[in-house]
Amino acid sequence: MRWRAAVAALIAAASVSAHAAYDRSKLHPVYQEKSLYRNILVLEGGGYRCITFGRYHGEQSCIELAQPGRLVIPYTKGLFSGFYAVSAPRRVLVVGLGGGVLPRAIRDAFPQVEIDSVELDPAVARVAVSHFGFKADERSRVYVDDGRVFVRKQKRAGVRYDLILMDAFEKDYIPEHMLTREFLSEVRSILQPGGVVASNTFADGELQALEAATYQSVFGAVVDVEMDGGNRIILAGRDGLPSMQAMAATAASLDARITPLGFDSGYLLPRFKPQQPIKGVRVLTDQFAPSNLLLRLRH
Amino acid sequence: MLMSEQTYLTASAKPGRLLRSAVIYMAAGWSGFFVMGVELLGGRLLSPFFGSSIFVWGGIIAVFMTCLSAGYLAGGQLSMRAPSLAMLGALLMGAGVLGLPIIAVGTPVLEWLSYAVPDPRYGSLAGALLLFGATTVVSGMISPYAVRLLIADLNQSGRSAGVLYFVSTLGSAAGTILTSFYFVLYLELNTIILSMIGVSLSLGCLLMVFGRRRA
Repeated sequence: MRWRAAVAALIAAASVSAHAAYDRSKLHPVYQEKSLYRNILVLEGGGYRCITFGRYHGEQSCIELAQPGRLVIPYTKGLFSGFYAVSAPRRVLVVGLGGGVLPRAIRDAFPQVEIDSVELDPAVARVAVSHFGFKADERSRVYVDDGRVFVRKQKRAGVRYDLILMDAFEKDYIPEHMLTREFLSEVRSILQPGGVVASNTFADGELQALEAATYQSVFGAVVDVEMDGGNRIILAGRDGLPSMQAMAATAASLDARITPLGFDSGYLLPRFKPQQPIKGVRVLTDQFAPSNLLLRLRH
Repeated sequence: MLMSEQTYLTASAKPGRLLRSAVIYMAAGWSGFFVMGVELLGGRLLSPFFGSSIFVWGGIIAVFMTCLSAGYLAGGQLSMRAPSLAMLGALLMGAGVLGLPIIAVGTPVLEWLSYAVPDPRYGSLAGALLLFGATTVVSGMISPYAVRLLIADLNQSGRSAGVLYFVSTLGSAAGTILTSFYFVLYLELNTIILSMIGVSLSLGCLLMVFGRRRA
């Protein structure tokens, strides 16, 4: 609670100053915690506050203290491309809470949407509240659970989502049980008809082709949204994706809602690239998932 | 028994005795390899149902340690009655055969358990016990039983046990590193487990034939 007050004070103080460009070299640690899973590090500087899992890892998510509603890190903007591929989503699942930036931005842009967020690490969920001003409420719930285990529970409970945003992968670590054909099939099974999954991925090297083959084996044709900073968003639909024209039209109609988050359809749409069909590449399965080893093997 | 074995040592049949010791060490080393290979892959098998957090690994490791310790007791007890190479071979084969349900019913059992026991701690504990318990108990029986077969002379018993621990723990290390670094990079989990069961059965057969011939 003390932290929440401090955040509010900081935000108020910072909002007087002008908008400053994000500069990661200005960040310095303000809080750290060794959790069961990670070294959680909160960094601050130059008007921004970020959560990371190690000084030399990428930032998981950041807020601009003066305008905490704006999205800072490119991939968080990229995940909103999921909204271009569904019509009138009512219930959204966010896998991987981070600083709580995504559910908060969804709440701001789409107040009527019901949001479930699932986060493995209870310490991360606490830091989202204490340092990033995230607030759960009856329409934005947080569950502390393994992402895959939670998806299976929702499947069994009959809960279905219009949109699933996956933010469980890092530049140098992949939860291997969450990048397999079986897992993606479970994800697909909790999508409503016409539902869409948008997944943040850093895969490159040998892993990229296997990842593509795995998504295509479950969803058919998928779209890559190429972001700056070495990552992509993979967009995949339960029943395929709408045409590019249809997604462009939806994107344009959402600009008024999304612009306050700090970007618009003109930023995201040119990045949409239909993924080439992959053949002759092994699909990742529960039986074969050496994703982290492959992540380190370059072509 | 002791007398006859000491005779072997001093008699011209020494090369035969060396070979006998070698196959016993091989059995113990392989058993260590097998247990750790299965343990590591066990974590993989459980992760779709219980995640892969520290709780899940805690459950798995606790089951393996408990089952090994039960196996040590049972193996020591078994060695009191007419110890033989053939019986050591039978233990290896038994551990292999008891590993088959991991492949045959692993997924449905874990699926059922994940609903029956949703807590990842007790779920992984129960899952590991059901799937890996039996094979691990029998694997644990191998080392003390092998010690009994090796010891021909009280003065040498500490050294024999020492070499056996050395071989069996080094086998565990090899099983750990080869499985987690290399096997998973090329092979499916079931293929790895089946191959390891295949080695256990072959080695068990070899011991039974060898033991019978010498008897």
